[in-house]
Amino acid sequence: MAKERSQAEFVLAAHIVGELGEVTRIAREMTLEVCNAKAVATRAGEQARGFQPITDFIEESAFDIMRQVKEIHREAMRVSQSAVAKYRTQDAITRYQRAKEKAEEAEHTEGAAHIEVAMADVRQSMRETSAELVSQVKVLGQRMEDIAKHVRSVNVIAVSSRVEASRAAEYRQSLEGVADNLEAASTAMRTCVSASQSWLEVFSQEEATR
Amino acid sequence: MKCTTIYEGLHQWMVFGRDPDKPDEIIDSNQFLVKSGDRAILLDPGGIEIFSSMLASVVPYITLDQITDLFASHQDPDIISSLGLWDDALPKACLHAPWLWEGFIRHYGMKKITFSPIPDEGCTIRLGDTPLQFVPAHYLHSSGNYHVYDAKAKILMSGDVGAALEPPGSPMFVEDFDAHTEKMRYFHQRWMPSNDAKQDWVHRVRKLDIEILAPQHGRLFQGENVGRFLDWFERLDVGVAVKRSAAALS
Repeated sequence: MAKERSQAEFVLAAHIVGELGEVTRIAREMTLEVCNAKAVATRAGEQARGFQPITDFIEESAFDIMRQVKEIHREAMRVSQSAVAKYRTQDAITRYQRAKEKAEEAEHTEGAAHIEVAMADVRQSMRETSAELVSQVKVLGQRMEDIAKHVRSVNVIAVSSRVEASRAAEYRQSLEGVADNLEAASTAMRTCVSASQSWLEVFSQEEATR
Repeated sequence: MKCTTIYEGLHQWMVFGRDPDKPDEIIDSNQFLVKSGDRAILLDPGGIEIFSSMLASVVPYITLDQITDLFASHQDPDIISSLGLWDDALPKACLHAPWLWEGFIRHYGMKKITFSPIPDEGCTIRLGDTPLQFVPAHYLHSSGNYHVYDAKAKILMSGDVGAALEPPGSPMFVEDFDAHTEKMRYFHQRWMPSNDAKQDWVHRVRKLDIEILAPQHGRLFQGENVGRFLDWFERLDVGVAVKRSAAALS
């Protein structure tokens, strides 16, 4: 998926947070859907014996994904905060540089040396913030890979639930509806996670070029 | 940052606040998002220190290109010092703010966002199908100050009027009005400089149909508490906190 480049890094970080928010929303809907699935499976009794453990698995997966997204959200927030800090520090360096140039043009040029000393501190702060950002982005990338695997497993459950639904006689239609919703949720979550990873890739490329 | 939907109809009002990532020394503030169709406006989007939290809190509900407008009730840093960062996030947006403060607000950094000055008498804009009225609130507390009234939602975003200084994590709505007045008294007596301006505001606001009065700090007032607040504020002598402190010292 092509993402627009040349946006401020903090804006890219916000896009990641936004996509993750959508994953949470879908996972929350999955937990509601599972209540419906459990009720149908209970009514179906013996006819949906194979479906009942699947509903437990769906519920567990939805809660796991929400927990994981919460942790990733925290990481993404750290990235967002560091990106803002870096932006502000970069802005400060630009302004110091301008001040130094003005001081060099002035009649008494000693001021430029004082500004240079102050700039050294800001540059050090910039190096530290950049290093922190690189490390945070790495952690975020790993966590996104973990959640991508988890979301793929939801798709496997969707396929299994469809197989079990086909054996549920008169409850087949209801349970196939559950399988359809699960498959749709899985697809939507995969799209969001993939979009988050894509934003992160753009972020990393931007970071490398600045 | 906590997000609470305070109106859900053909358009929506959301309030963002109670930020757990905010440094302790910074006053907590309520930021508002009004969404109508495919457009949205951020009301008093907040200070630079809460920008990351605010941006991250908004994007799950709306895409950035849908935020077409910003509103600053006045020039204070907790209202709009994040402007330089929004300028990069929302380069095509329009900032509605008091004409009086344009030259001052631009000090926060604004190269891409368009400035739309609000005249002294106020004005009305349309956000999609929703009219939003910028109601004059001069000297409450700033000398160029506006509130936002939405007649459909019956919400008045009242800036610093109704604000309270409270510990972190307090509830979103006032529950016990009488107990709450003690959290508002000093704020209003110290920050609000003019009894004349206050009485004029109360007189005009009483004519509006308000279900929620939503200040920029502390809890919101709903239902009967709106009228209770107006009565309390009308009786309160403002612009007197320093005089009393000085008297106590002598």
